[in-house]
Amino acid sequence: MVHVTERIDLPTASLGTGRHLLVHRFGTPGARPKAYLHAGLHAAELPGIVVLDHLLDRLAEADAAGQVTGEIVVVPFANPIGLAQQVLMEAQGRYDLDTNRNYNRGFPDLIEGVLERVDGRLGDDPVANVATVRTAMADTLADRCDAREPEVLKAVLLGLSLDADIVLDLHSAWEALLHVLVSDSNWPDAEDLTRQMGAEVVLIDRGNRMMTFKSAHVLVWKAVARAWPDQPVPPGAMAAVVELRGQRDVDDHLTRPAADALFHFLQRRDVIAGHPGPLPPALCPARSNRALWRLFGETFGILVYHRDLGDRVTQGETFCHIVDPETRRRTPVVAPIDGLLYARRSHRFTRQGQYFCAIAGDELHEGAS
Amino acid sequence: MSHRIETIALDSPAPGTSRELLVHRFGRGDGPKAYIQAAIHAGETPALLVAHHLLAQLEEAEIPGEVVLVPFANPVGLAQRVQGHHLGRYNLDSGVNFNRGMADLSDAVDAAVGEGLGSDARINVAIIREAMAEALAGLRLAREGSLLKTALLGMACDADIVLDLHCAQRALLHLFLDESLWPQAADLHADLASAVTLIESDTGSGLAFDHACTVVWRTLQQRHPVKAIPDACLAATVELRGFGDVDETTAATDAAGIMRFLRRRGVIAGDPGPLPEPVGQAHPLEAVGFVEAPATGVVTYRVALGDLVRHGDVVAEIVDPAAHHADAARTQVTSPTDGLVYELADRRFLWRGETVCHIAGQEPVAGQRANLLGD
Repeated sequence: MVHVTERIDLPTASLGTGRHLLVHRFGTPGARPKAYLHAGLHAAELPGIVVLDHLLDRLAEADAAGQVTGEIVVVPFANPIGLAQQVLMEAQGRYDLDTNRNYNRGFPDLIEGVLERVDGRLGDDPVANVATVRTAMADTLADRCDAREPEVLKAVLLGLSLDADIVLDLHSAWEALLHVLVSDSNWPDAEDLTRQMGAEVVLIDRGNRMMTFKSAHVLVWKAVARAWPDQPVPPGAMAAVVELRGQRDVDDHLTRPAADALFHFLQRRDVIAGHPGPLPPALCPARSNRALWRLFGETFGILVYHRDLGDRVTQGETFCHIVDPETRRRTPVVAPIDGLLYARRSHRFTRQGQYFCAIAGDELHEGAS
Repeated sequence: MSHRIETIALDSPAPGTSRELLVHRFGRGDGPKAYIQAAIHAGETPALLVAHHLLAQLEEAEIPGEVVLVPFANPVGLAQRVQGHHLGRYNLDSGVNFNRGMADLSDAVDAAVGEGLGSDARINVAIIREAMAEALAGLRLAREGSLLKTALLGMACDADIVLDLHCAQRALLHLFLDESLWPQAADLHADLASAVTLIESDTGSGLAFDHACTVVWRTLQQRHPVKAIPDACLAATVELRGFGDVDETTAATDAAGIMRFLRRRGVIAGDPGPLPEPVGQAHPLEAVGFVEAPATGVVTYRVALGDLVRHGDVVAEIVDPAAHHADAARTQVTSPTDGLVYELADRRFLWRGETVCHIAGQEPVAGQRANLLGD
């Protein structure tokens, strides 16, 4: 099967503006396993876009050699609306400027429709059950009539991915270590992904009811399994968010190895033929996302860090100060927990109550959120 | 009648986004050319509806000349929505006003053909128009707003008549014209029933679209006084009342006024009838009082659009919600001139220094901002 590109025109409300997605398809339609990868859903999170640019080279080569045994769908820029949003030279890719909605929240919630459609149609065969649920997901999605541009985009992306066995949503933080977010129903299934990618932090969640893209691929399966505990309904998709460091970490020396790692992962999952090589060791234990501490400004001011990204901090340590240039007071920021300083906002001014960095705690901490 | 529809692809700002202009072309090209565009300030909706009525009337007309109609001139601005509000005046990315910063082609045209101009005005006009098109093609412009402006100017620069359809905040219908075009454009003033026609002596304030169409002729006239260089482009900014003045009857009437003018100028065939009695007068732009709010607060008007006021009359009051006592809350706003109230602010909560109203008189108003058109 030859590499095919397809252009999906998105309906636009505005006159004289067109939007489209580009979709690359490799392998044979309908072949299993099917992998779906996209990048830039938060449109300013550029590393994934470059990673997929590298990966496309390798996939085209493998496809030409007949090595794509499953099916692969790649959407290299998943959010053309956000990619065109710049305000006074600053990219605004996380929220839709018009509707204020986060591009990675509010994906179509298919749960209720799927539960109605599969009622009485599940049996003892897990493979048949997965197919039944996927059909119900597609039918439920087809019944929706989304009108606003960002909502149509979300429906189209979900439509491209909802029958995939593997769904990878490539993001990045402002500044961060490479980390991976996986839901508990996909753990430890996704351990090979996290090890292959060299994740320095792995966070396990229970799915987000705000319906992130990943959760749209997770919560349906959890709901069906919960509703019919006597029928075998495994998760139909292994869905993960791969946070490819910080927004500026786009250079080839970082993004090409990440693309290679994705290629090896797809080989290990039998989407692509060939030997992926030995699985690298885990760089970290998986943590519950409840072990993650997000810090919020106690006051406003300029953040002056004494620890770098990737440094360990110990509970009680002042690892940062907030400098108020008016009072000249330096407010200490104390680590609430032993852990790893793994993500920061890149703008160094914080307002009171604003998120500015995250520490991955070593233990599940009572009261952490 | 010939009616061709074109789309012009503009540059894309990012992967997955495309932009295009829709262009209607009418006529045989055996007479004067008119170029009409709507809503380069993309939120100025009355212009869009007038363009629709113009389209309907042009489809029924016989057109020996040529009419180019761009029914929405700013796809970039039309797509700019922030928190549910449409922001169509400035490019969100660059901060630049969509109707400022047009290319001034004077130097390039002068360098290319200035010395070669002669005593035959018709030949000079043809030479200069060709040089304008070449100068535009030679511009190196990178940012999205610039390329849009160049595409529009490219369609307009060889026209005999350019009408740039806008609207103001809350306003009477009014026109902006370069002083070189007055009184030659008195028929436009009358046919459109303009309540106020503002004559500009300074085109230096940021180069709006109509200025970009006229500045080359003016500059070449100044630099080559002995050559025969006419004012070959009648370019006007037409302010089709206020943002909220969007209704079918008004728009059809305004479109009919434009059609009558195009007939009078021979672009369209048919009898325009006698020139209507002018509704308003011409006023030097320097004689407009741009009345600024002396304080922050809620503006309440003592005058309505179309009122004649005298110097010193109270035109509005600013009510300060932060006043500690009611009797200290009001600041009176007075007229700096004798004149006609032709524009009021759309928003009713104003910050100190924002414009409360525009009053057109005949004598220059002292002590005003240097850039009367604003940015």
